[in-house]
Amino acid sequence: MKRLILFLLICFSFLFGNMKELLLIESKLYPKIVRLETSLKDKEQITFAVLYEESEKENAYEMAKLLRKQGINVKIAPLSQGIPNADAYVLMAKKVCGNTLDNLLKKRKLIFGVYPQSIEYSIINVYIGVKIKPLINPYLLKKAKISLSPIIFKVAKIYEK
Amino acid sequence: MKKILLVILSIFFAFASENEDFLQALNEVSEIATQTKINIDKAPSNVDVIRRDFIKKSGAKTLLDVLKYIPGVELSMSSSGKKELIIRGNKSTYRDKIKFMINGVEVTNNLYTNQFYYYNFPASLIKRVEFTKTPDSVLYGGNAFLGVINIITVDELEDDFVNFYISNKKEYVGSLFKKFKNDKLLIDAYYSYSKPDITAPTSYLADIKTYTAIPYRSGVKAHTLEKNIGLGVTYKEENYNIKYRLQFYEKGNFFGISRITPLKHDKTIKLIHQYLNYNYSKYLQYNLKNSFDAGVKYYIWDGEFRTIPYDFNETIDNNPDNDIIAGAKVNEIEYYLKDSLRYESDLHNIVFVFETKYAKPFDYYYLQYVESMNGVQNAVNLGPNKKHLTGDKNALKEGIHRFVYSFGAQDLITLNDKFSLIGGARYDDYNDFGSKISYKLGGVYNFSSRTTFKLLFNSAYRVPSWVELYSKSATDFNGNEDLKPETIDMLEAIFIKKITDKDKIKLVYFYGVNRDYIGRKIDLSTGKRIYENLGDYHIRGGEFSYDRYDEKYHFNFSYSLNKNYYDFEMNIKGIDYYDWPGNREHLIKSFLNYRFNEKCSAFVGSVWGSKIKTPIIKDINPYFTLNANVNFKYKDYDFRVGVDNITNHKNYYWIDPSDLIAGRYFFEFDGAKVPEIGRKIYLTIEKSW
Repeated sequence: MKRLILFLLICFSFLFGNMKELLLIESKLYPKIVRLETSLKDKEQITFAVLYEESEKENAYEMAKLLRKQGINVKIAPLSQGIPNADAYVLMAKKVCGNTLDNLLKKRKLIFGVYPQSIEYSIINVYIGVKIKPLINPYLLKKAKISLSPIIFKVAKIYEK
Repeated sequence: MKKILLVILSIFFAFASENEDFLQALNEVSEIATQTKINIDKAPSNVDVIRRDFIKKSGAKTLLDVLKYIPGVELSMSSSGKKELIIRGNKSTYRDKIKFMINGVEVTNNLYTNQFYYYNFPASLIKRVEFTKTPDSVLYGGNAFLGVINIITVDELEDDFVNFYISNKKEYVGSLFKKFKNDKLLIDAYYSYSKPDITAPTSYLADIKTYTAIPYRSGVKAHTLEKNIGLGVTYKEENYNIKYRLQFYEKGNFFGISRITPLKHDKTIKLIHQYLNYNYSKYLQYNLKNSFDAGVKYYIWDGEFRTIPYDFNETIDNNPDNDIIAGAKVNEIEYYLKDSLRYESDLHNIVFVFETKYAKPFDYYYLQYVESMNGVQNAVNLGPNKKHLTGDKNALKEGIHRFVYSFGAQDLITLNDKFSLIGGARYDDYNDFGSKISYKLGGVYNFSSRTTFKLLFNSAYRVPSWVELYSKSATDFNGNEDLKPETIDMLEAIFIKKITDKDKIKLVYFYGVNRDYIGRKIDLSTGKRIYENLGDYHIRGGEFSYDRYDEKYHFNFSYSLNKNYYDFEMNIKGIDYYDWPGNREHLIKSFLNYRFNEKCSAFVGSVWGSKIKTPIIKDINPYFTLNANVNFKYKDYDFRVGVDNITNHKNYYWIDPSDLIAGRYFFEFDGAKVPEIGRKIYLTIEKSW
């Protein structure tokens, strides 16, 4: 809980004007993390699906634009309209209902969170300290049965409930 | 067998490559976080970052409007209309003693180490302002003395737009931003015009021998013309970028350089600053990045001022043709090379910096003439009919140049999530006055998830400008070739506490000693004020700010205190205005940015400054301004209607007396002050796509 509060506090200011910088950081980092997934076959042709809640539509399209600049194929869909197939998901929502999360986990793909609050609903988020680090939710990682290259665990922070 | 080995090896290298890609990406994004200052509360520095969202909402017209809510920053103006930044109570006429950069390129000139031609830069084109009040010569070299301001202009992450601003004070600004070639080519441009009606206070002629002062000129309309034109072009490829920027500024004489407002408004100064910068950056390894910059800067100062009537006979004939007109044209060119090498590991973030630059003034001359005297040459009509005065009569010593080379290193050591340290040193060598060593030490400790403490120490320096070293004009500017660089040792203690998820307080205590302070000392034999290293100037005070963030609003309150003092004496005790730093000791600022819904928001802000203590005459009244605006969106249009200084509070800037004339006379305004613009109503329309 302490770590969660720490994380939320550190990232709190993002909600006030830093959104574009946060999206830029995540758009550069997340594709590199996907390539660390050991079961991913084609590491050149990666497709992300950006799933958003209605109030975040503008940011979702911004994220999609930034990901495309990284050479990533991107699908965009509202969370309410089902889950498209993709190599990884970016969650543009502060909260996700249990069913949706279960359905996402069943896809056995990486789920990246954009907002700090969404770490409870995503497998990977970013930790902002003096340096940027991936923040891994080990419970959901295990539940999605995904294995990642060991290198990420050397540098990441592990989220604790 | 060979095939199997080949497959294993290719898999191994593929993984090695992915791992390195990943680690490099981590370094890249950490660099983005550092550059954009989003991790600033955790990093060992003290920077205020003002982001585009706030800039837009605040209704700011210019860069200076953007800076006015920063704790410890006071805005002021000289008699001739030069805008000034007083940082932590340091008022330095004509020179703000800061390093000023646009997109990382320094635009401070060598001529007078100032950059006021950029102060009217339109807020609409600013993406972010990074303002550090911490001296930092290790990273930025000389002149990062009272701080560093870096203006980041709008970039490919922003939509294209056009923006128009109009106010009831005869102010107009038009700006645009457009991306081309798949966002690789970015162009911004603007034009602004301003000519508010302000009536100048009465000028007095004082005689220090008889201790008398008589009214000299009253009720004259100030020459408040300001015109700006700007153009920025950036071309970006993966590993390199080219940046060009032009800034043109034309300014009227305002209240007059000699504290007599001109009767005729036909003289202006025109300043043009341009730079062209090429940058090449590449990761040599995943943890080692090299960044190389080469560039050229070209600056022109070209203008004239009406000073005083040559015969003092103002009250009889009121003839502006009797004014002594002083002016000059100076071209300045600077070439520079810069390289930085950044190594990053879990523990270290080391930056090595190498720089060299060569600068010189060329094709420059002085002007001094009296129109009514036509071709008769004499002591006041030095160059009849605008004759270009060079050689011994030039405004600046001829044949000068500046060559500098520098190298330094800085290491940010992240010991763990709680504790990080920073240290660095730099050596600079100048052809005109030898070498300087700057250094810094600092640390950050996170006591808990909510509490951070930073302790920073910086030793920096400021190089004397060419005007301070080599000028020899009749009006206000008298150089001294024996000047040494002034230095500053600054200690800052910063405490950040997040009281709740929504509330944050920040406390800063600072104490600095400015040694070999460069100021002007009166030479009693000539009446001229000549630049000298006067002694120590103590900078001390504190800043407090409180922020509350809510889904609907952002509220800020700040208070700053400066109790600075000079530890040197001037030679006319009792009249010596150096006993009075000319700043407002207490500043209280606040703003509320409230969002009604996605399409409508409102902003209310206020700034209060305590009185300015002045010698002999009455103190300058406290400063107060209350500003508000409403912003609403309709489709791709953004409308803003606002009022600055709602209460029309009478605000004034403190103006010190003119140079002594004939060893005994000087001019000064009634109350040693000039008025601000007053209440202003404005409208902004922006269309984006």
